[in-house]
Amino acid sequence: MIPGEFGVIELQGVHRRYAGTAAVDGIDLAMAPGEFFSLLGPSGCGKTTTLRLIAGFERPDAGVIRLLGQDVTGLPPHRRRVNTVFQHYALFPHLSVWDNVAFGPRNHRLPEPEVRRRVGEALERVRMGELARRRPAQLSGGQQQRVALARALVNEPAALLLDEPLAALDAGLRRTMQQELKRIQREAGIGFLLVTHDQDEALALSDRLAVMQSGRIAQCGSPREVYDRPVNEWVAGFLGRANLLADPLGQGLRMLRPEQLSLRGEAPLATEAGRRAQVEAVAFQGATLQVVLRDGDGQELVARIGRRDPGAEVRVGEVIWVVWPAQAGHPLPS
Amino acid sequence: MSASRRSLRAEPRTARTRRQDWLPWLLVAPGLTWLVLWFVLPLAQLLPVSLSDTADRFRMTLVFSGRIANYTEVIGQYTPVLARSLVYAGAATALAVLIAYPLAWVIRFRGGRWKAVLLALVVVPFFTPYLVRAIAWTTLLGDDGPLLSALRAVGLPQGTRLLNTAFAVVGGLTYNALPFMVLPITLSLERIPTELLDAARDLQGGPWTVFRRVVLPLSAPGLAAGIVLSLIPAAGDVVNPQFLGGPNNRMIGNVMQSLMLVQRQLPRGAALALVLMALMTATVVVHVRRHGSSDLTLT
Repeated sequence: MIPGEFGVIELQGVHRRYAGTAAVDGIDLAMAPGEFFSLLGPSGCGKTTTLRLIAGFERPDAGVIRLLGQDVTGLPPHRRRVNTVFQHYALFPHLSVWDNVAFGPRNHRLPEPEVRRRVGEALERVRMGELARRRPAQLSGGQQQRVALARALVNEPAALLLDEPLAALDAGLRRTMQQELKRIQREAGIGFLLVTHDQDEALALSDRLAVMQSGRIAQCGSPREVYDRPVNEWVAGFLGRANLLADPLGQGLRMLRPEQLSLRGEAPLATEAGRRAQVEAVAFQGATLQVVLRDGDGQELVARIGRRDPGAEVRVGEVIWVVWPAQAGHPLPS
Repeated sequence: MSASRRSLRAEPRTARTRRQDWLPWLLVAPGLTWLVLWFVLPLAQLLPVSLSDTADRFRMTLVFSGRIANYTEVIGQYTPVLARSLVYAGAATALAVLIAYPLAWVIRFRGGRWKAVLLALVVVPFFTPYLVRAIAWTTLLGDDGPLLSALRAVGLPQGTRLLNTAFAVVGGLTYNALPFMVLPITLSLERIPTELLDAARDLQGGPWTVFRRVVLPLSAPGLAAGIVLSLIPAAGDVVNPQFLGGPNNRMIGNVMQSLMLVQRQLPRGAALALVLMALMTATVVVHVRRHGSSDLTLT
């Protein structure tokens, strides 16, 4: 975001402690309008607490939270123009799908025709118009997820907060819903703040993401930036497999992603670097193979190669050249 | 080899299924026996008794004569007492709701680690026998008791009485109803996930909206149970009107007691008992139909 530009959500020096331990330990964050932003981190890193602070369920011990430029730090949830999609959907079991979605607009005291128009639109947007009369208990997990989205979107919030919204769905449905989330976000044109522990999900969906560790933001940037140029070993490892090699040019480490390595019988050329290593394991992963190797110094290397690439036929125990372009990789502080 | 193993495994499975067929019956048998012996049979006996004549009041000989007049007579004679019983029981139940609901709410949402202690405190007074509690109340509410003395000190006119008033009876009934109201309401509040309350607040619901549109409907089953558990014992209560109400506040229980044990008019007592039962059943059915059932089936 350009400095001085107007942010939908802004956090400045936000702290939150529970019984002496810092859950959120000084977070600065600014989300642009219409941005798909993710908070990515392992459980207990403070990402959900950050979301709850923005929604207003928790108050920060220090720091300022702004929505659309307005300081909302002391305001209760119902006075904040953001809405949440909860991890377990939190649909009201005693209300129909329609009444669940109408809950917010009715609280806004909109006239009933306007409520009907908005609820109808929101249900169409998530393709749940047909099941409006059902109760939540009569819906599948994916359908409940859609209703939860509609119930939040119908209020036309400044930004939507999503707390691990896909965690409870099985893998196939999760992929479908990821695409759906992206489509809905594009159509609605509002900012989505997604909390997730799934790095693939964060990388696939986000315009930008913040990687969180122990209540702090370790790195913030576009998915490519964070994946290709992590700031430290921990971030490198959290976003995917990483080979950390001693940098031959200077101090520190060089990080190479598994897909940057290739396997072959011939020694590296002048423009390449490489080392001989023995194959320890080969894991078939559908489109690719993951090959784990160990070099003469006992260091482990992980390569991801296509099924038609050279080296795709390697056997466990075989000794082979692991090769990469000499300039490849990203330097890390050791 | 594999085939024989399969058949070996199949054998106990069918035996288990057969056992599962009669297992539920075995489990309900003690309860069922108890109910048949001490509830269904006496109740079945009540019907012929209520349609009998007392041949000899002193030897308690009853002659079945199909005397419907027992019913018309007790209804004619005791309608005011019946009405009073329902009004007192209703008032006590309503008061109990007003007192118990906020209490249950605090225990559930503000109780924290004191939750179990608070719930125990609600029940503790009931370790004292029912009768003793009623007698204790007569001392508390008596003309020279601590409550009236204190009220007189702040300007209550002389001669105002608490004992032997409707207030005292309803107060005693309310007191007895409290734990039966607090416990089911607390349990039903306990079953509401906090995430739902967060969701309601998140959807621009202020505190009152969250209560009215989420907490109250979701706790309706507990509320319905509490109302039934309070209303029925209160309507048939004997002890509170006897000790706290005096002669002008008799309830239907006192009348039945007197008919059956003092006046020895068993048929009329039985008829009155069945009339009360019918009234209470009708009340509860209407109540559950109107408030309970839709919420009961959907939680």
